[in-house]
Amino acid sequence: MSEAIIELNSLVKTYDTGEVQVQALRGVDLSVGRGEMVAIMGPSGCGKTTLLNTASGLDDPTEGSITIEGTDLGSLDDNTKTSYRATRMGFIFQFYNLLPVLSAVENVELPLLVSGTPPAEARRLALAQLDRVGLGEWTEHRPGQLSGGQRQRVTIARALVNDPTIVWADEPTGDLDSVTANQIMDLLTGLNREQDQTFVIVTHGREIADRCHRIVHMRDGLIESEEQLVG
Amino acid sequence: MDSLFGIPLTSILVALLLALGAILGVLGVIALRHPLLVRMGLRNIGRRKAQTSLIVIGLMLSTLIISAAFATGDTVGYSITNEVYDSFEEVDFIIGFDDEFAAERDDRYLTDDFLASLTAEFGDDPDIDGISGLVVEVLPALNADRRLAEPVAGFIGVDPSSIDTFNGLKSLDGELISASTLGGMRAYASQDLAEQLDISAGDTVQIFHSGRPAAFEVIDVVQDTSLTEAQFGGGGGLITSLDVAREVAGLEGQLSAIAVSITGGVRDTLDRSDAVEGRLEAFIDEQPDGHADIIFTKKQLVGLAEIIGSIFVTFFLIFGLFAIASGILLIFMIFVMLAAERRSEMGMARAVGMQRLHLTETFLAEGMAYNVGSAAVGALLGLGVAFILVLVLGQIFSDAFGFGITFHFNWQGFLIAYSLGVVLTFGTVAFSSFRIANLNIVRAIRDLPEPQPLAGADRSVGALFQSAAGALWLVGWLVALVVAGAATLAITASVIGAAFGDLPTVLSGLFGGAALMAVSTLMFFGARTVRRGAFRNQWNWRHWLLWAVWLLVFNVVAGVVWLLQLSRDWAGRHRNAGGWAVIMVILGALLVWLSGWGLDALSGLQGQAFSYTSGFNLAVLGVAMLAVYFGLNQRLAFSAAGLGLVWYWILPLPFSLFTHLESVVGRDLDPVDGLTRILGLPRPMHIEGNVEMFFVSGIAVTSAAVIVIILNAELALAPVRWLGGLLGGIAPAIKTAIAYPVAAKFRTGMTLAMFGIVVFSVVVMATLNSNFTQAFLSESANGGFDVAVDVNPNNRIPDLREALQDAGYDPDTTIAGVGRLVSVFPQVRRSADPDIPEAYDPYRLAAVDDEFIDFQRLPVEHHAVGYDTDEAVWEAMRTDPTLAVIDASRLQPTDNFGGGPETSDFYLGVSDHDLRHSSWDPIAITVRDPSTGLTTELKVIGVLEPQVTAVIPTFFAIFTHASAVEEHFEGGDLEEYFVVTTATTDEAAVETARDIESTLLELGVQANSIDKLIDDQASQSRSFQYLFEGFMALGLIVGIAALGVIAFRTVVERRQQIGMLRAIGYSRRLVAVSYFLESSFIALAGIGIGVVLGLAISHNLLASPEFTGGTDIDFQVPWARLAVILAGAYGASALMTLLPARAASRVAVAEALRYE
Repeated sequence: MSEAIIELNSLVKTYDTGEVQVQALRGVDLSVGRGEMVAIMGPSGCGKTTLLNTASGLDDPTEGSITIEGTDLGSLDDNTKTSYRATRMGFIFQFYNLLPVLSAVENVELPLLVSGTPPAEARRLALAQLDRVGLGEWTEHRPGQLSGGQRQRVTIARALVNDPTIVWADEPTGDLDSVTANQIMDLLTGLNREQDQTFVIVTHGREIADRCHRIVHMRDGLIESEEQLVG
Repeated sequence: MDSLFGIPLTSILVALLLALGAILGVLGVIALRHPLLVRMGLRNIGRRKAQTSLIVIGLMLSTLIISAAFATGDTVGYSITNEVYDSFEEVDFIIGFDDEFAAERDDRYLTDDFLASLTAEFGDDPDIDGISGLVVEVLPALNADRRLAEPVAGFIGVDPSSIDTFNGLKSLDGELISASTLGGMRAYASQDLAEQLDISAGDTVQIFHSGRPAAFEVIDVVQDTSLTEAQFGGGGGLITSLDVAREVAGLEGQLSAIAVSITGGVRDTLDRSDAVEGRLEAFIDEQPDGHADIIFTKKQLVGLAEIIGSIFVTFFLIFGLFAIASGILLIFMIFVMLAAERRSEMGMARAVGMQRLHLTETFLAEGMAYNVGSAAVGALLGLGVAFILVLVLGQIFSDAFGFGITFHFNWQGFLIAYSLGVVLTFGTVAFSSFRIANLNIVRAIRDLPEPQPLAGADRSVGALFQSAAGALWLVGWLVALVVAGAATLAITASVIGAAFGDLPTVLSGLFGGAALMAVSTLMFFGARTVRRGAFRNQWNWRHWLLWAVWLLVFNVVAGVVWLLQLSRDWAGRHRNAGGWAVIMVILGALLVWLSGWGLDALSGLQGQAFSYTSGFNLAVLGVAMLAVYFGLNQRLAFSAAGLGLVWYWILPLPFSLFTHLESVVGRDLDPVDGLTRILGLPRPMHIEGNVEMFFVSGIAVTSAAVIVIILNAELALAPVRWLGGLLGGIAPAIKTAIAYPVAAKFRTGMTLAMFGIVVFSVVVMATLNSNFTQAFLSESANGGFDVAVDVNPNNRIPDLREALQDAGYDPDTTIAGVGRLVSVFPQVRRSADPDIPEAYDPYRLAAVDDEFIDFQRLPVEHHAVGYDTDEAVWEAMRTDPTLAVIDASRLQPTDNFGGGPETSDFYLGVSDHDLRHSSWDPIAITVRDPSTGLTTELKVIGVLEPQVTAVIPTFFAIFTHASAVEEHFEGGDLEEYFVVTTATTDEAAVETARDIESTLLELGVQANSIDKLIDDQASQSRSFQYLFEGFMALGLIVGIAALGVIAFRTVVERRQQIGMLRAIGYSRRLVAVSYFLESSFIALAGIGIGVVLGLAISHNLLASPEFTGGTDIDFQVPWARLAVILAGAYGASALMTLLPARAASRVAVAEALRYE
């Protein structure tokens, strides 16, 4: 494995619902190398999404530490973490999470605008990214006017437009048919190869996981096993 | 207060309580039949507490405004009524000299003989327990020790042998004082006079009659009542014995008035008042030389107090209409938003078998749970608002009328406010629930957008015809339902009304109601029976039998009902937006025609601006809908219609508020009128509108503007978008802040309309108030004079300068000019009117001398032919005593402003419009001296501008030269001097007035600085204006609450999107800023719409001579006043948005992203 870009040590996440406490992560240790594409698999409720949310800084761990590119996330305040996300990370979600009131290109350029890119430059980069994911003809369409696969491509374009170091994907093909799912995975693996970006993908599908470098199997909030697929 | 808009409050209350009962009945039935639905509805209430609070605020506002209006009116009516009772005590009637006999008598007094006859006739009447003669003279009074004077004090003589029955003399502690304590030159002073002259028991007061002093020792100070203040004098009264008063005033054997008391107390005699009054009048008519009349009755004054209270309620309700309309929009929007939130839930419920009616019932249950409680809170808070209004009103009343008001409300008004609030809200909730329930299941579950509802699938003329017929059918059906509802109400109201004993009304209501009810019931059950039997293919012998029996009983009705049922199904299949558009166009055109040309049978609509303009608006919107139906782009069609309607309302219009500017602008301003001219068709009649047009124009023009802005929001917000690009850091926030309101057009449009309507109303009110105050109560209203000097009629002053010099004051040091005005009160008529006595009406004739003409600056609005300038008019009057100038109130009776003395029905017979748009020859009027019967003819050559009468009531008059009065009216009745001071400052005028008054103390002159009078009146006027503006601004709470509701709602709706934004790098601050900006855009746009349209309409109104009564007003925008109101509105809405913005920024990212 190349140098570690993500390091999780004894990560614990407990949800306190007031009546009961649910331990979603019970001491996870994980290391992901730069340019690596890691799939996280496991049955429902095993803590996959919690791991992704916590590791990416969207949620705070109850215990343990997260180090990304040598920086301890726990030492950053909310604003710094947010800026870090805006410039260094990309996110792809199962349900796309696009803003329905913005067009495809406006959705894609949003992270650029947030990170201070001038509007004209943001628009140019967003259009280029949409072109790259095969949506050059659909830039002015709103999410409601696009198919599921197209919407997910917009999400991917939005995740990658900032040229992030790490892309976090939570069930990126979970809402798509198998043909479209394969197309999306072709796109992700191609981008991973070309740009050496790190991908952490939460998935239920073995065929999706098989296209990654490594599979991490989880059960009951712990890593059960790891499977190295490509050298 | 007994009635509102002419309808007895009891009837309103009974009808509303019945409606409330019906609503609660409906809810009860729903609860019994489908308790689950009710539980579903009720459980939704507790889901989001902050949002529930805002919904309750939104729902209660209409009730609050209605309740506040009633309580304020009740307070005013009750306080004035109290003042009447406190003042009149046991006096029920005052009999005085009948002015109709002025020509037959030298004096205007009753006689002891008349009193003796009256006492003989009614002395033993069980309904009358007091009759007493009075002498009342208005004279100057003086406290010589302190050099304090009251020029218009009442000098009252009471008969100690009979006056005690009236309980009119009371010490300040409230103890009754017997008039037997009076005797010799001793008198009681009323509290008012005691304060004016700073006197107390033992002091000496002088009064002056015809210049002769008479000194009285004050026995004690007594309470102000009708007897001790005499009602006539403004400065209190001095009460002595009848004999002494007669001696001082030289009225042996004469009486000014006779007081009569009905047996009983102060407040329990009104029910016998009419009967006793009838007997008194019959007696008076039988007295050939009595020349008497009943000039006051306590009952009339109490009635008047109630009318004033009713006027206040009406005013506050009309001014509150904007807020009520805004509140109704808010209620509608709240429920549409609740429906949007639960769209997929509802779709699922429909999928598992819930009917549309069930959804409607669920929403109704939830809505009414909010409603029943919030209306109660609103009605209670309305009392609180009224309490605050009363505090302000109390100060105004105290300054203006000399008595305060105390808070009071009655349960009738409170219940009306509550039930009206519930009924209004129920109507809105029922309508929105019905709309909500008509969703498409699949679209709802998958959250797909609703299809374009206006575009027609089959665009053939035949299909459109069928659709129109279908829509018409539904209208007919709704009318039938309304009739059935009205019938039910009529029957029940009649039964309940029977308790009030008005049998003919009860019977007619009962009969009419029963007939209508019978028809409605037959229609309903007939339709139901036929549908169940005929359309389910379940025919068997029992059905045939049922059918036969039914036919036997209801054969004719059955046929009709059957046809109705058939046609209803047909109509339901064919009805669509195209049909409604056709109906709108036809109905609109019909309204325009009925108002512009008219039909004798519907003469109520003829010339009515309300129906004329509403019809035009309806037709234009109908045409736009038709255009979309036939394929035109919706944005294009409605933008054009909206712009057209804004143009229609903002340009000067064809009704009285805006009329007659066409000659100025030089083109057709009323499109309908213009079209008829081009086509050579008969033109519409003169259209007129009243105060309701304020509301109609506001709603119509704001709605039209909102349609245009919402449909073109992208365009309108382009500059903001561009600006956002330059701002860097918050650019993403601006992008999302714009995108959401642009996408949610309905929601944004409703909020804009709510804000816009209320801001419009406040802006128009503030602008009109400010401009009217400026025009009517500016210093130019002083007529060119600085001090007005009223001369006591009992102490005439033929020459003011001479009188001042005689009293040791050198007038030349401070006085530059003295104009003399002598009033007489002849009877007047137009010479062109038929020469019958009834054509005469009393009006003031003001004879002015040369010096008055030299110094006056009374602007002439209309000049007769040959007298082109103001100078030409006044110079002609100086030399020709047959010429006259008249004030503007005599042009025509008007509902707008001003009005002049209501006691006179004399009018010139021409309107401001007539004189403005055509040249006119001098108008001849005949003036008759009532005492001699001699007549003389005058020619009116000019009409003064209305503002000249704003502060000096004497200027409500026909002005002519002094020589005319000297010749025909023996010098006149009342003198007044108008003084111009050498120094031009306000202080100099006040000082000169004070000097004149103190110098001529013994003569009882009253001198006032005219500019100070103007300032005082302007101050009172401003207080009223601020009060009304404040009341109208309550509506802004609706707009602010709407923004709050939307903002809270959107945080919930967009929770996942907020999570995503935070994930891709939006900081908490940026999310909050985005929310804040989004609400700010809406608030600012609403404020902008209201300000622009409000100012435009205000400008047009103030440019219309018919609206201003002919006064030229230099339009000015009260920026400072508007800035305070609007900054307050924006500030409050910004604060309201901060909370949800903060909530949005604190959304837990991972949690939000997890669930859709």
